[in-house]
Amino acid sequence: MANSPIADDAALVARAREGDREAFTELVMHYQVPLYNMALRMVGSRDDAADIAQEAFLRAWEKLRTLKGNPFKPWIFQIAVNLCYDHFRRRKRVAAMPEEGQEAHVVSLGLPVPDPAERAEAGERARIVRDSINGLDPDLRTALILRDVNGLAYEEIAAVIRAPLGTVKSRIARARGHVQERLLMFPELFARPVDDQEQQHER
Amino acid sequence: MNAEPELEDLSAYLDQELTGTARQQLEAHLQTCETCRRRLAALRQTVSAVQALPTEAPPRVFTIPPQRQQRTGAPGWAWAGGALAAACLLVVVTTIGLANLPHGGGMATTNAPASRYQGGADRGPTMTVTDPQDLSKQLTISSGSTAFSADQGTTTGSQAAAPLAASKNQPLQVGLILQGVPGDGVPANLTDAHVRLTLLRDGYEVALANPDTFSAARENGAVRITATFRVGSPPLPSPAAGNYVLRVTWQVPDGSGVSLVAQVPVTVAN
Ligand SMILES: [Zn+2]
Repeated sequence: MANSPIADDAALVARAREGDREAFTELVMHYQVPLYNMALRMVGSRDDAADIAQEAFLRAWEKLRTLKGNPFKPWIFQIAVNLCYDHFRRRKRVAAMPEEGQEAHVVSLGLPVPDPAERAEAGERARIVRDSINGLDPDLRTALILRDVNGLAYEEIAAVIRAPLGTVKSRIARARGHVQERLLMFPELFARPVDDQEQQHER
Repeated sequence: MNAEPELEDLSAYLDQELTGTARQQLEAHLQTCETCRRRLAALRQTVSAVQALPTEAPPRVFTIPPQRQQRTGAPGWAWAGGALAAACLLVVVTTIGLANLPHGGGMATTNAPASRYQGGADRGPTMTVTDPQDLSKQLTISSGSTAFSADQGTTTGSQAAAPLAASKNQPLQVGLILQGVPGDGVPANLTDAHVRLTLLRDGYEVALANPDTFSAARENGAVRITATFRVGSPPLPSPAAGNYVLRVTWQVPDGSGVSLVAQVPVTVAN
């Protein structure tokens, strides 16, 4: 998360490596929401995403000594991304499972609550975006999610997936291109942008 | 730049990851090329659509069981809800018994582990959500029981586990804890507390009317509210019996525009 400076992480990691569980719990607090949401967008199922996040924290705790002086954030994401790939292999399929039980456990956090009609349309938009992401191959999906769901910088993503910056840049662009193609199939929900929208941003 | 920019460059430009000459060349090209301005705008809209996916709260509390030691590879781990001593302070979301809703008729009756919320209305399911942007803001809802009768005097034969006898006078008791309300005022009613309570089933939504009883108090920086409703009074869809979700929406009164939403299952029996 943006408000978790690397220096803080490093201090917490140092304490946790001495066996300080409280320090590690603070790291869990910092990263549980981004990590869970990364896994959720990767695998599509809330239960599986929660399993992956839990397992990632357990592995991180146990292997904390191998981290040496490296930053915690890309490391914990790397562990969780690898678990997502394990999940795909176990499933022997790459497509994510549809999210189940929408109404039952959806919890909106930190979001304005729109009226029911808006909510229905937003729900439909979200479903199409999720489907588009699920249609990506895992490498592209990972790059897109780390960038546009988690907001990681290219350098951080490069550290997570252990690939050069050029690869990161190219995967993000290709993933966005594929998603864009899918979204344009639903012009009533994703209107084509007008030119001045962009100029306003640029000036 | 004579050649048209690649998708890669437009994409990196959006992310502020294009630097130096490459960036200058792209900006110069955009000045003169409407097609590329449109490409960029379309890409920006795609990114916004992905970014607009809601951030969801984890359905469980992530803990490291005490027996898990560093450096050892002890096999097998289990969820340990509330195993941490400080878990009650660290709970982002505790979801109890929501997993079966609204598909099955069975209701979970588990109580929240390690909950510090031991008010009078928490015999039934409880849920707590925290604003991830501001951990001091927290909303808890609990219901006094999970099963009620919608009509007069009918017993709930199929709801043997229901903790309360069903009658039209059986109140639906709701407990709310609003953590992080500035000042020391005590709300006089739900509206005053910026709280909205609704019953939902299959997308059908009923806003609960004024409660029969309402009480609020301040305690440790939180506002605690207990309210009771007659289940027979709201205009429930027909047939009224079934599994509902009791949802609370709290518009956090700090000008952030943030609403926290929590919900617990409620069964209305015939
Ligand atoms: Zn051009």
